[in-house]
Amino acid sequence: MKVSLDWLHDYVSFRGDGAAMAEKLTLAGLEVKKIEERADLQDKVFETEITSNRPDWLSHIGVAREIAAVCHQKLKLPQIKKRASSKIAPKWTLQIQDREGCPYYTGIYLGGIKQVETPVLIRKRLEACGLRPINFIVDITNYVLLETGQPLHAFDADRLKGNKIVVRRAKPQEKFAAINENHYELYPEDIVISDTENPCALGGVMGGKESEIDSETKNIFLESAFFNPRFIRRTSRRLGLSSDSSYRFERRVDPQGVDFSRQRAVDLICHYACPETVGPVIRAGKKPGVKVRNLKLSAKELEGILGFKIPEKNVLNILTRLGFQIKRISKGAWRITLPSYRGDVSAPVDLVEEVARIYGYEKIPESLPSRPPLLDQDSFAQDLETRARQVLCGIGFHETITVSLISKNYLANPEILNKAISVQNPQNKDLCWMRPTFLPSFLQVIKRNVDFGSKQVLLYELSNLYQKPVRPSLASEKRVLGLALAGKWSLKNWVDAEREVTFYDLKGTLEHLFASLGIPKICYERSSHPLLKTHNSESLQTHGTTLGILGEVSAQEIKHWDFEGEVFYAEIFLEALASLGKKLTLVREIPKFPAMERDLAICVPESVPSGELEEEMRKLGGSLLTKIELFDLYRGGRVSPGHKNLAYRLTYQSYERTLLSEEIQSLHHKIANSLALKYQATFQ
Amino acid sequence: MSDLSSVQNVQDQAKGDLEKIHNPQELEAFRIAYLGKKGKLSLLMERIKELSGEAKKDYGKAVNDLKRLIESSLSELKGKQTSGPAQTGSIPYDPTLPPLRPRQGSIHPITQTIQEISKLFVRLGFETVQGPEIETEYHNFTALNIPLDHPSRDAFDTFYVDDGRLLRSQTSTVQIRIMQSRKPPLSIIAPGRVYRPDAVDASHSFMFHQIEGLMVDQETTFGDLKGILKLFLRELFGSKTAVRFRPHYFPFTEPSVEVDIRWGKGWLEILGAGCVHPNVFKAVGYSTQKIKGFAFGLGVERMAMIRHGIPDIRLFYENDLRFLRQFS
Repeated sequence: MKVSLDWLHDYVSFRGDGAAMAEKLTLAGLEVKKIEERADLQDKVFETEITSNRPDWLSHIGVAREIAAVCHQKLKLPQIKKRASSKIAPKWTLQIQDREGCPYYTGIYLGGIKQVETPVLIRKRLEACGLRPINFIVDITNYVLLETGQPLHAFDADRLKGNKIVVRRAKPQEKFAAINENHYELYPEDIVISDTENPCALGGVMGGKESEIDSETKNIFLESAFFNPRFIRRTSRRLGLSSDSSYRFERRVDPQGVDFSRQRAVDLICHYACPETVGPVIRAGKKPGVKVRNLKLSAKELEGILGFKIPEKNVLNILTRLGFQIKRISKGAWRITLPSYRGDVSAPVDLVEEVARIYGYEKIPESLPSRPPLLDQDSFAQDLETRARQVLCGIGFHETITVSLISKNYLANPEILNKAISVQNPQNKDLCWMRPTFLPSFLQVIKRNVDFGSKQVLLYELSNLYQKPVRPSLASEKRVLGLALAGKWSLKNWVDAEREVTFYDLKGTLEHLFASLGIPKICYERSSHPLLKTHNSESLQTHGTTLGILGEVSAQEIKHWDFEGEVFYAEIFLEALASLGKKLTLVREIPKFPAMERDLAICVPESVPSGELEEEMRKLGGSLLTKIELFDLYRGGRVSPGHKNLAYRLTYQSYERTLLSEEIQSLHHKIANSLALKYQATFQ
Repeated sequence: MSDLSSVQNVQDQAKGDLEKIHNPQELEAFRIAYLGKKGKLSLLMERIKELSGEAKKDYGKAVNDLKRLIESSLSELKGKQTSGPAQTGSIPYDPTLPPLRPRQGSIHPITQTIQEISKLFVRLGFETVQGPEIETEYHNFTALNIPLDHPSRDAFDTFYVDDGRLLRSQTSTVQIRIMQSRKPPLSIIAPGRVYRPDAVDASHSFMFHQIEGLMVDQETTFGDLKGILKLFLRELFGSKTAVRFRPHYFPFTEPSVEVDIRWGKGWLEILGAGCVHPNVFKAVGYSTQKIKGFAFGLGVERMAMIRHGIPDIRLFYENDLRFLRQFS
């Protein structure tokens, strides 16, 4: 809100150029964002930013009250001369049909108003506050709004039809032409002020074109009312129509200000434009929440919360200047009566804040709590995440943070889509699904980076994935580590050749990660996943728990993103991983006796999996066979079609003795012969 | 034949001969033929005696140039024939060749910021916890003393999902969950994603990260709030950072405060905080008489943008490797 310094001086006296006052107000919670010099108006203007709980600051009197409290000054309210009403019957009957939307409505008829120019002082002040002077009557209603915070509305009385004014809900699809030249279609949730025929104003939001005041207007109906903030906000938001009036009503105006502000406006109009007739006030409904409210506050409570004792004298002084009435119950205990404009204060703790902020937050000394150390209850899962990031960062993976909401287009797969949770009111229509997989996000990042020339895209992300729970008692999100590999695994340099990523790089990355995290032995199982190639996807298992999935992304998914190449993807479920607990390393004796290596090159049909061969070797080799490494795999050439040649290096070692060459030779032969028999293997 | 053209002649021959070299033997033969004691260059060099003045100078230079040319071509050829990965060690050692760096990844700047802030609070005795992002209205609003008709409950300000729940608009939900499941004393921080339907621009995103903090026991005061937060901000931004506490409004704290740090010539709003509102304690079943505490919340993106000079919030979510690599 724009606040005129010249105007403030009507209600409170203070010195200085405004900068010091701006600082004081800001540090009391009434933030002054900017000071604007208006030399043309011989004024300075504060641009304030108001928190939603302080609608009373949306007026010059409200700001002046704050200044009075901060500067130990007295607040002077404008004196209103009581104007006797002419002895005439009310021109209209007034009826409120919706007490919830409009609890209290008042109005007055002013007839035969002289046509006058708006006084210069009022014009200048309106301009300082960013309002354009329009005509005398409108200017007065605006002036009072800025002075007291109570929005008023003046209707041209001659343009109101009939002798009835009704405050009611709008009819479905009722049309309303507002003074901003726009036409609105109303809903029954809107409150309108209506004459016998049509809505003349959208209650608390905007007046109607039909009954608008112009420079010729002589007779007016002046409205001052209290509208339910919730109704005003709903209407204003739905229509995208915000006014100085709706801005205040939706934050709640001071119910006691309704009559005061109407009287103030009447007084000003009478003072400057001598109307011939001043009608009787007509009113309907009841002022809401004007019952006197009291709160108890104690010095002990103040000190307990603040950790500091503010002298009683200051406490009383501060509260009094803010408009609270104080009665001392006993030493250090008070009963505080709340003013009607402080709807935000409802508990003693609110009074603590009032005292503290005016006393000055900066004057409350800082302290550090002393307390025994607390046990960290959940450190392992956290720790796991931190270490996983370090490990992956260390081997060349980049952590991404992608948004959790994705487009339906990216979730084309029905199996995935059916389980996804949708957002009802997406900010962007496209992004309305809580992602059940990282894959679309990763593919988007890969695409972006490949387009910008990246040859190697190795990514991971650690966040939640979301899915409709199978049963309501189950969680709908889980913490997952996602990985994606695309492009080159190694780049060409002056020594090494480049190489594309493979499924085995993904698998190796996972094994490296698990080993680094101290996760016990993991096994793989063939599995299927809707986004992965069927012949190339596996799940990770340990002791019957699924730890994750990995595989090559299906061609369909990749095609969607319009780029070439293979992408490998994995999800690791972190809760499952954390539940395995930490395995402490138990050191094994370093072998004292030498190891022996023997190679075994074996040609088998394609259908024989390497893992099975290794398993068999391990079984046959027993405890003496300590390591099996595949060092070569080739096809073609002398290898007959439909076959592959695998070259293994087997390491034999004993913890008890030096192995004899013949002994190893015979064991090695046994393994070879046995494989030959079982898998129709031949040897090179 | 002029003297210089004879030099040119030898150069042309050398060029032809060089192309015919395929093995080390041929290479050696070439070296002897041109650079040997009785090689072609020695012969050329002998003729310098017959010249004088300017001509002698030019001739000498031409022969020397040719010699250098042949030498460098030779060493290049030699390199090609003997180099290759296996023999890197055996060729002459050139320390200026580019180093072979291992691949290096990165941790996202948002994570780095969270980690750094968490580390500071962990040193102050806080524990890191997490909570769900899909939340109930109760945890996101009601328990936090945000009334039913508060504007932030509108669909304009909060994302709602199909089963009536919502995407948390603040990490304050975690303080409710932790207080519901544990007894005081508590010191926690909860980093995580939050969602608000803001239009996306350089400083707004509909998803961003917050860190929520909560300290609760029997005598935690507003003075402690000031003490802890000032210590934290000075650790993060430098020990001389000016910090100011400005009254503000949050439904779930009272008194509430916004904390600014001096940044350049002005003040920069850095976090929101306050003493936990008694209604929040009531909602989680704590005694409002016996238990006191404070809570704070800060925006991670904002913090990271300030500290690293990042001009646009969207850079965080694009995950351009040219951006991420800068945080390696």
